[in-house]
Amino acid sequence: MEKILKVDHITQKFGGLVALEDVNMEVDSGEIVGVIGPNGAGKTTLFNCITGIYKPTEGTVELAGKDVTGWKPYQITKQGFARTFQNIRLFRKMTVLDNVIAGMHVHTKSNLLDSIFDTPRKRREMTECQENAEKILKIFDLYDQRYEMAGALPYGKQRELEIVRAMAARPKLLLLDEPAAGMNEQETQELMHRVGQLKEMGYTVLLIEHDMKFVMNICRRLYVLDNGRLIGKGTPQEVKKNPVVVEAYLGKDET
Amino acid sequence: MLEGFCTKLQRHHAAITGAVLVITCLIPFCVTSTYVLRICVVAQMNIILVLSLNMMTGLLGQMSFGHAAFFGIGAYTAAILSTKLNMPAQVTFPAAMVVAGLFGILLGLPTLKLKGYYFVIVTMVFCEIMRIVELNWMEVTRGPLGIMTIPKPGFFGLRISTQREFYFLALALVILTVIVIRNIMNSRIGYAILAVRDDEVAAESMGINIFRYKILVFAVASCFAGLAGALYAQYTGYIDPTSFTNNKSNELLVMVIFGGLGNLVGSFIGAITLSVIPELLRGLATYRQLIYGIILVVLMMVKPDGLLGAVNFKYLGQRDKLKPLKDGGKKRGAIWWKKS
Repeated sequence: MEKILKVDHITQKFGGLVALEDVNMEVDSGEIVGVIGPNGAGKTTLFNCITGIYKPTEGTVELAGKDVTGWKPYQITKQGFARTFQNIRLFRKMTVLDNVIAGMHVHTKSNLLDSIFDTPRKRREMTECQENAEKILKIFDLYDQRYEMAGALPYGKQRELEIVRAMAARPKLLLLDEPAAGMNEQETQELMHRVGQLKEMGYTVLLIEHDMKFVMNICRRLYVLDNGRLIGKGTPQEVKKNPVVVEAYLGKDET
Repeated sequence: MLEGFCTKLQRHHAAITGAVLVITCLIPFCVTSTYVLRICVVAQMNIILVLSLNMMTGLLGQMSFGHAAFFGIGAYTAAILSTKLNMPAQVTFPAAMVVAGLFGILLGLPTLKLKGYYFVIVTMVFCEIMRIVELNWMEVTRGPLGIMTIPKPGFFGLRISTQREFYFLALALVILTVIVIRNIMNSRIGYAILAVRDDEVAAESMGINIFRYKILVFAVASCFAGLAGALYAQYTGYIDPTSFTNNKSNELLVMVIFGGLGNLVGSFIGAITLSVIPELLRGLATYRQLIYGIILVVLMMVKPDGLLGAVNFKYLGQRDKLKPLKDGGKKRGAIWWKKS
């Protein structure tokens, strides 16, 4: 099976603080992989290293066999990563539809001259974008709200829109940063269904999550981080039984 | 209320644009007063400046207090080329655009990585630097004496000299500016620009090279400021550094904000209103600035984001098209002039 992501001995230091230490992980094509860990374990730092927001102090990140360590975020996205954010970052003053069209940036080609002279190539491209965007919005039941301002959507919908926007970039690997954060039971259920849909559509997903039930249900494999170190990995069942993981989550047995 | 009104405007935008264009073309034939036509040309020149500044400030979200610098660069370029080298207008106008655009890129490369206030300060200082250069580089700009007897523009032998001819030249340039900016905003580049305005981190993670688009917008906005400069130099026939100070930059920014950040129709309203009001108030002499100030303060209190800052005509139109499904198409079918 093709390796989509290979994180090799990543270390990230901020001054004297070691946020990540010697982390290794791999994601295969078509998998849904989860990263879990208590608050401050370094999950989001790991994401930021992978997507180029931070430059790792040591180690390499490989995307589909290509070393992308130290690249700029927009270059990495061009290579095939797309992500969502823990604190939603939509283009709030644009409509739902326009958010998705903006997400297709890496797959459109028309240049400044095409734009200024409104060439047929540019028009064709824009129509295609709009049609494709409407198609994905229909799948995710956001079609009826396509002309609403993104910032005016209810919370759960905003999260979903962020995922849709990331999908619009047709990534090889979709990174979801705490997609269920702040969601109620019902919204979480719905989200789980969405991520299931993503899997069926052939997307490879790496997600960070707090919600144990959520991760245990949809992830095939898990990585557990604590204090910047990888303390466990494997299937959800294996992870649940791992004493080190239990200790990190529930504390040490007093006896 | 404003939204409803604007939806109606958008519904008939083709007819309204046509009507406005016809009226605009008729003005110079109905009005013969040189004074009034002069105000019209200046207002049109301001429209070009305000549209380009709005692209920078409202659409990209980079506040610039130095737009007059590029206006000045364009004006001096056109003035020097036409007085010293006798260049025709088909050379001076594009040259003014290119030189101003290049200065935009040169200033942008080191400074557009700065965020928010820092960039604002740099643009402010740049405007002041340009003024001092213009004031002291005697051999080229003749310093405080200014450049006099700049020839009237001639395009391929077609001389523009009367007020009416200038009016139509300015109108053509305004239309050019609108079309270029609108076409850019309707393309993938436009979506990227708006994305950068709304959230830089998210934009970059969607594969948008934010720095590149900032430079691009800065260059395009400077180009059109330069174009307005060329028009100004060859229209008035005399330029000196006092026309391109921070005062002018501030005045332009006020026009942008008055009309509404990010709204191109608003830029027209802002530029025209604030070009005309000072002239209307001329009779009040000393109270002129006071009243002008009061109008601005009141507007900022009532509508802090400008007249049309909260309005997006494209989105209003899109939402409007969905409506007939809800009320069976009755509302949309009833066009006001067909009401029996």
